[in-house]
Amino acid sequence: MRKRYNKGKISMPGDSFKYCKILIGLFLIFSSLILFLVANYKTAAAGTYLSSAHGNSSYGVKRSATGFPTDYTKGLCGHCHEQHAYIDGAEPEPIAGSPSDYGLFYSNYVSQTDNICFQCHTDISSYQSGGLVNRSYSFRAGGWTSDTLNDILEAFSYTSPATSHNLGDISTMITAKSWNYTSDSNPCNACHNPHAAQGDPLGASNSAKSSGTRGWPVSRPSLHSTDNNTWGLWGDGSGEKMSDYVGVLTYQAPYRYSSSATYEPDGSTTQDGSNLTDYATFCTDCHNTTNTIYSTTLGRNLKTVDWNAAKHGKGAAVLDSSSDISAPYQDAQLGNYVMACTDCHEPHGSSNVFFIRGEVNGAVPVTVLTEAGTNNGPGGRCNSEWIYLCGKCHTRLGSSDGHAHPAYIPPDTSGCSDAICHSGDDGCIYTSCGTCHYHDSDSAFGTPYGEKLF
Amino acid sequence: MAGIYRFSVKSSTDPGLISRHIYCIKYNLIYKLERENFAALSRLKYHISLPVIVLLLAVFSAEVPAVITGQCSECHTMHNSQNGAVVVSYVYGSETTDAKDNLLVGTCLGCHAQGTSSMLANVNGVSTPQVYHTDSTGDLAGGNFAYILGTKGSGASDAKGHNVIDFGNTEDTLTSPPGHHDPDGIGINITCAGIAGCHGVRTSAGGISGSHHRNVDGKLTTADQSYNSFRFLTGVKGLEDADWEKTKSVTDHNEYYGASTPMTYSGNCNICHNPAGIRPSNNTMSGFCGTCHRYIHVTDSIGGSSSPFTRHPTDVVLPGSSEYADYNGVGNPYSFVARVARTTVPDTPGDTVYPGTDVVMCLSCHAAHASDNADIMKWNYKSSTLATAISGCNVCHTGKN
Repeated sequence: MRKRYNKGKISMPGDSFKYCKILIGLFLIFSSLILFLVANYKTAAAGTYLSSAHGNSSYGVKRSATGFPTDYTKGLCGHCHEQHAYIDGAEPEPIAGSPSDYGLFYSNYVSQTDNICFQCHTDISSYQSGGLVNRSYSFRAGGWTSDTLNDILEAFSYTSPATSHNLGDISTMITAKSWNYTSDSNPCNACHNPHAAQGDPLGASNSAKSSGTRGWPVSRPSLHSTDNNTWGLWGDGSGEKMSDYVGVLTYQAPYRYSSSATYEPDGSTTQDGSNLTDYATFCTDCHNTTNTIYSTTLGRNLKTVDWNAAKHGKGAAVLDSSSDISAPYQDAQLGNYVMACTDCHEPHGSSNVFFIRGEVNGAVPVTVLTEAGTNNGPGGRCNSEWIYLCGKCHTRLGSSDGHAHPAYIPPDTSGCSDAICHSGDDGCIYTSCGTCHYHDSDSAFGTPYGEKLF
Repeated sequence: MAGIYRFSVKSSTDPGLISRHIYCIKYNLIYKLERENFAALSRLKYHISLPVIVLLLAVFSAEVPAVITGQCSECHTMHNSQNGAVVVSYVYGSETTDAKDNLLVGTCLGCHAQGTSSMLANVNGVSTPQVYHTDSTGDLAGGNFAYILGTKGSGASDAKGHNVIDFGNTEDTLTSPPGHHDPDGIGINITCAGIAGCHGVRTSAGGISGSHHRNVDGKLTTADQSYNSFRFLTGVKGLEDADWEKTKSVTDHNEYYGASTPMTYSGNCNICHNPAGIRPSNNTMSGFCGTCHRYIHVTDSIGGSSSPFTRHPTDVVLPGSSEYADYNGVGNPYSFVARVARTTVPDTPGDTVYPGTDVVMCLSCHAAHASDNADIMKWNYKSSTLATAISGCNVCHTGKN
């Protein structure tokens, strides 16, 4: 035995190098294994809630109220949910009469301007420690930091002529669908999963988005589930971007405010929608061709939306001799462009009708206060306030620019159409854009146009 | 072990006496069989044949008695005097060694709260569970009052437990049990047993008296008396772990009884107020807690019996779908952080939780006596590390991590 043992200890030329290689190999294997475990541990540790705006340990929810513990860490469930409607033997403020559904510290939903969310998402008397500022889409994505709107309650508080997404109508809508909502559901949850929604920008709600601070705020209503593992964010994954939605067509990001070099939504040079949530799919969960949505605000059903056929959607837009569009859009690409809903609309509310954004394609003002567009537009022209919006991308909307109209509306020599459009009955010779151009419109003055007009 | 109880009942139709007699017979049989001394049976004034005894044993085998097995003097002293010295020796803190009720040699805390470094203590040769100790290896299932006083754990705090007045620590925050009716008649003066306590007969004249003598261990499905209820919590069913969970594993633990619907008050005081004392009419652990914390338990004040609840429900089935189906991870292993109750008291502890069948209860989140966490939580809900603070929630709410 000894002999064999000794034999095994005999050094051979090159053995040291071989052992070194083995040791290095083992070191690399174990190092890789450790790095893999660490990386995966971190991934597993930060789940959906802990990655959300509410559950963030640095800037998450933290209630400040009389009788409420000051030592609850940020993001703790107890900031929103009172397990027994008692803490230390008494109910902390706000005492909303009786314990609320889901153990929330306030009623889940009361009205357009009164629900659990608005107890914190307001800049005045917010229960969120330190207050809470949230900005408009025009501010965050458009970079229009002059927009004074600074909280969600304010966005939902707009009244005519300004408008807000009607929470009561949303509640009716989602309750009627088979999306696992009930009449107890908070209509804010139609679009936002409170246990998953992220700030966008992340942790900087008073700033415009940047490529390094992106978060994903929305979840599709049609995918709603009470299982947080199931109802994930929309826009955060592959296949959920505008660039995915358009396929072989083109998404062209609008300019950031007052810039001709940076683009929505994050001020980067990315223009193809690969950094933008697929809001077309998101919004058409509700606003499509099949859902009939009554608008309490308008007193009528909303126009349906067929984004597959719309000229601003996937439908074919035609370059005619009179058309022209503004940068960054190009005439040569007409027919390929597909827009996102948020290119024109605020999600919550704005000072305009249909919550039209206050800043579009890098420019202001956008002031549209009547559905019919009867107010004066740029230059003081009557009936032309929609040009504040349309003119941000479409040129040649002036008095003598001459739209290419159908044969029964022949242009006159000065570029104007005939008396049907420019009768001047009301003392104004211009017809509002919105008279013919609105979602799913395909007729003018009751006469089929032969193609989509929007 | 010579001092077995020997009853000398000549004749009686009192079911209680007969019952006690049977227990005595059961004990004697076991005891003597162990020593192959059948002659001891002849000492009974009532001569009962062996087949009858065997039959009785078979009939009563579902609930295994653990009646006191030592000498009377292990717990009692006739005159509190032996060789000129007092005999009462198991007292807590400033409690005196004066003669005690029922001729006991100690008090509740004197025997069960010795403050030693062990979860079990020797009381005149009897291994006795400790509710107040400094054992660093853990606590018994009920928890440890030492956390309130700060003799163990991260520091004293009234919020860490039920502030039993016998410990001498005043409750500085609460004025009554949260969720109790008003006036509550209890205030903050809760005790170990009796009308303002948890254990034994909960009447003004009640208490723990007699419960130890007739104690039934193991699977407790009768629960109509203190002695045959889970841990002398009158009215509560359950499966008692033999060593109070000094040692515990997923196959070695208490099992708690729960219901699929909480009690409903609806003006019916009898859900708790029984002529024989306060007790939960649904026999569940959560119902028991609800006898003092009613608003936190009954359907009337938690939003009904199905979602949306206005208070976190107890005695409702952990849903078998959604995030709850993933309770405690793959295979749903039993969790000691977020324990569940069973709607049927099992014969043996289960190592698996069954979402869709098992039940959320108060002890899913809270300890009974005290814990090292605020609000008697099982985990540190006030941790400055958010993931730790919600770790207990995440056992059930698996999608909220």
